[in-house]
Amino acid sequence: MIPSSFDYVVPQSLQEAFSILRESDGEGKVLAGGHSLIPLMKLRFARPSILVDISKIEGLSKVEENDDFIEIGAMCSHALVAYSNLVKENSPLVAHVAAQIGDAAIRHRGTIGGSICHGDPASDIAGALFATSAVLVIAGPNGKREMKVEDFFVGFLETALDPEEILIGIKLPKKLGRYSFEKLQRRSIDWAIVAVALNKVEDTLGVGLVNLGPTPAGFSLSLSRSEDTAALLEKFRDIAAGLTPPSDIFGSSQYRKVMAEVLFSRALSNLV
Amino acid sequence: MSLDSKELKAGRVEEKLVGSSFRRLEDPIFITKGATYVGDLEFDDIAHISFVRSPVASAKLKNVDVSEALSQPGVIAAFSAKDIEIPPITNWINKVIERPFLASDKLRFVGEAVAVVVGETKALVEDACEFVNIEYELTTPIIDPKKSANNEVSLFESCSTNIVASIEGGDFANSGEVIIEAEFSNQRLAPCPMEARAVVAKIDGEMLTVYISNQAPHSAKRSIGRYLSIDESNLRVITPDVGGGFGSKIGTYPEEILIPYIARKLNRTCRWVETRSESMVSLGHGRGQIAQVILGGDRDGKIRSYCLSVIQDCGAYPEIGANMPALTRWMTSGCYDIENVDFKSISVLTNTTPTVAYRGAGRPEAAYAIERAVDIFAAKIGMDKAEVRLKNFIDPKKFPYETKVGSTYDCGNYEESLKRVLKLANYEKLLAEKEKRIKEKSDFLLGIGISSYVEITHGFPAKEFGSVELIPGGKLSVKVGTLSHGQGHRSAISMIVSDITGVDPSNIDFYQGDTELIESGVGTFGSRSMQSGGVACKRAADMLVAYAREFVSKNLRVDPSEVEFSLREGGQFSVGSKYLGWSEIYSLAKNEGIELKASENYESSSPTFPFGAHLAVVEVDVKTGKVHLKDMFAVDDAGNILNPMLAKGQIHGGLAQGISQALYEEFIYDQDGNPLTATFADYGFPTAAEFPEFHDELMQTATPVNELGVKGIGESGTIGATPSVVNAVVDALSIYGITHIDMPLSPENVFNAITIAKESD
Ligand SMILES: Cc1cc2nc3c(=O)[nH]c(=O)nc-3n(C[C@H](O)[C@H](O)[C@H](O)COP(=O)(O)OP(=O)(O)OC[C@H]3O[C@@H](n4cnc5c(N)ncnc54)[C@H](O)[C@@H]3O)c2cc1C
Repeated sequence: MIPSSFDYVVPQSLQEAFSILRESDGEGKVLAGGHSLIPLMKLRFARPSILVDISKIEGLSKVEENDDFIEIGAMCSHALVAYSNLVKENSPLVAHVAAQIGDAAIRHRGTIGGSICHGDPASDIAGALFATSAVLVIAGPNGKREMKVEDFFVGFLETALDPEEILIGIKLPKKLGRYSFEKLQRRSIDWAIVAVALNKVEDTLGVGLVNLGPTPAGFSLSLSRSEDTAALLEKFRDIAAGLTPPSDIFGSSQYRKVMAEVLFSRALSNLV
Repeated sequence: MSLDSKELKAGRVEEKLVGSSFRRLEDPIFITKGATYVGDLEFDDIAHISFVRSPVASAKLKNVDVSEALSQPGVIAAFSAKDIEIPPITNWINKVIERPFLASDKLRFVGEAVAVVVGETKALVEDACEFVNIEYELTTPIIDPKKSANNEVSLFESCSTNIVASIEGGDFANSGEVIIEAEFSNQRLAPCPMEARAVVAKIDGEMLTVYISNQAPHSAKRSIGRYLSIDESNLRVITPDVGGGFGSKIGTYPEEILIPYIARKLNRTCRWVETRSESMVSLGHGRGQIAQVILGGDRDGKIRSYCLSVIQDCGAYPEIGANMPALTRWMTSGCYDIENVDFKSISVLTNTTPTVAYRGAGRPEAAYAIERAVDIFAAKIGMDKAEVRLKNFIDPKKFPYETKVGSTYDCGNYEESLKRVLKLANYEKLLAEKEKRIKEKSDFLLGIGISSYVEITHGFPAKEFGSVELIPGGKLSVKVGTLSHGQGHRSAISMIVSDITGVDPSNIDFYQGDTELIESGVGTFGSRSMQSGGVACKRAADMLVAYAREFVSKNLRVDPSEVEFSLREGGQFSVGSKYLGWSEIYSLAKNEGIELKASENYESSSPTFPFGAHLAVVEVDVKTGKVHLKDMFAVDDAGNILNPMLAKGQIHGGLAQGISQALYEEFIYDQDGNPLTATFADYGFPTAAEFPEFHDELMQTATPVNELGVKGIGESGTIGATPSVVNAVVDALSIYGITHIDMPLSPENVFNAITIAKESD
């Protein structure tokens, strides 16, 4: 319950953060809301030598509008994402999902960037990003790069970020359609046992899967006009058959698979 | 819930405070400054202590090496079993089994204390703990109590059997046209008080003062004094604000005796504040009972026979948990008049955290068993569950009623409490809604669960101390041997004393939890406080008024019968037109060197038996198994109610814990004895968001056992709520032929039950 000792710095710029991370020789860690990292440190599962608090770096905590996308700064709290009019108007699924993460205290501290970079398969927001075909903006000592969300998650709690890189923003296309989010959980503050996010834009159905494999996941289905619900369910079932959800005290892998179908079918009929 | 809180006028209100929702005197400081827990106390030059705990459930302990830890920065000392020169603990439940203060030859559960490190800061000490080397050889653990009962492997060499306590059954035969048999498990729970354990041991020359978060300071003093051979006059135990206990802080744990031991050895004030992770595995656990029931009855609904056999999981050492079946036994037949009743039990050791008393302590297990069994019986004979209960309740005219297991229920009216809760919930309408959903083939079935409970409070009547003394300014000093750890005793007892003396509660100084100030005391557990300490303070207040009357009569040279006493103006004695208030009496008495003080060691003649009826309404998502508690109704009777707001607070908290056992909580071990729920991320501790608004009514059937007419209200909510919620879920799923699902009713457990039922259909 008490972490091993560590240093703590609050850089004012990305460049400063990069150089601290480089000097730490892989032992440093970016600190965002701390809601995943600090518990791991308290259990001494993580022992970073230095925490690089990125909350004071300009520009990471706001939502901006561009021609065909909005960009959410990585340090935006879940609460900010949930309440932001820009997000609600342009990517309502993401705002809707952000509002269902943990409880109010967690939503005010936890960030969208932290939620993604942690790489937890149970991240609700990652599911929403799959469903909305988000693009991640990553900065490093050698400049910026962009990456589709589906290329970001490499393995359990493992992402494509280099140790010296920082996720700075998430780009969401301004495409409106219908969406829904079904989350099965034990207590109201618990992580999802399983959750399914849907985002239907024109004839594409974006699907985000939460806690159904070693990483957050998703895919999209193209909806030919003739396709009915039963056929969609059939398609989903085929895909679900290949999933390898975790087994833990909240649910066995098998239960999670079955629930994925139940939630998918409910999400389909609950599209708003 | 509306609270008709009463503000006190300056001086004294004419009407009685008792019975009103007088606002808690405790709260202003809690809200403004905050409570003062053991961890908040400030001391100069204090050393910090951490424990190194067993990482495995069962092993031969070969060596514990603290030398590397000793050389870490800030470390003052480190100890393993061989450095501890006090004999191991034995307890009254099983004298053959000894519990060492630190594991010596065996590791018996994950979380058992193995070594102690003392240092300059808590952080440094925690770091140094990683340098204690424990060498051990794994042995096969026994986690399942049924397996332990087979005695294939003895967990203690000193003891040929793992069964450390047992209660034999009597002559019994099933009777009735229909016999149902079932097995129910009452899963293991972690008590999770908000404040975990904490101890400060302060050294002043010969004098040792121990600050401890505990429910029974006087018995903590006895334990510490006995094990450390400290003379009573050199030992003082103080419990500052205590942030909850739920039974888990009744006893004194080995760790809590070690802190003063080490402080004395180092001649330095030491503090140990348990972390939550530590608390989850080493504070005693609750429940852990398997019940096998056989209930026989006739098709007309009459229950003829009931037999309850219990296997109690004690964990690694026999603590108070081993004795829980004795409490379960008292309540075997619940609210029912059954001619043929039997109980038997065994308490067995396992390689898990020892079990202790936990809110309800043995009675929730009894109520759960019979209330589940009655529902299964009702379903079997096709009779409404409420009707079966009404057919079998003990007739209110039969009290005091002696049950077949020998408990004497003081008074009750089970029929009325059930009828009231049915009305409160609008039972008929709920039944109609339930049918409607079935017809509509809804994915969200409605379930209605009833439970009628009776329980025992102040189960072990013991003397309790209370005193009231007149102090300068006409104020009163009230002292009591019970120990409020959240219940609001200061408010309740001040109300009682104020009603007798007329002194405004704001002029009453209240003391508890200090063995130096309070001559004796038993503490707070088993919902005993108002019917012991409360009555003692009432009697002391009565005596104080009598002493004062006598003093006034002597002072004014009149016969005591001529002295009148009224509650007006903060309490006033008068003879003709001459008036004396408490303040004047104090001054007059002081001039004559007289102290006006009354104390009472009150021993009540018998326990009391609160009762009530709870009704839960759930919605079960049959596609996922997720249960949503829609509504909770409760009618509870704990005799006269001193303060409805305080009583409801107790009921609400109790309901929450009872519901939570039904739906969320379970302390789980894997087959190797590794805890899987050792953090709040995994353990299903509920939040406020899990509960609907509670609809409750207080019924008041005064007990003849004590002059306040009060029973205990601390545990009732927990006892009635659990079976009502499980009964509701089973009720919703009865269309699939489901008769029972073990707790917690997690989505997957419920889903699996539905799947199995559908398959076998
Ligand atoms: C009780 C509880 C319940 C929760 N319930 C849910 C839930 O229901 N659904 C859900 O989705 N989440 C839930 N969470 C998690 C919550 O959403 C966290 O906010 C999130 O997992 C991590 O975000 P953070 O900002 O706290 O990140 P941190 O804990 O600060 O960081 C997490 C990891 O990401 C890295 N990191 C953070 N930001 C960046 C960045 N910009 N660039 C590079 N690396 C970075 C850190 O180095 C660290 O490794 C819960 C958390 C708690 C404590």
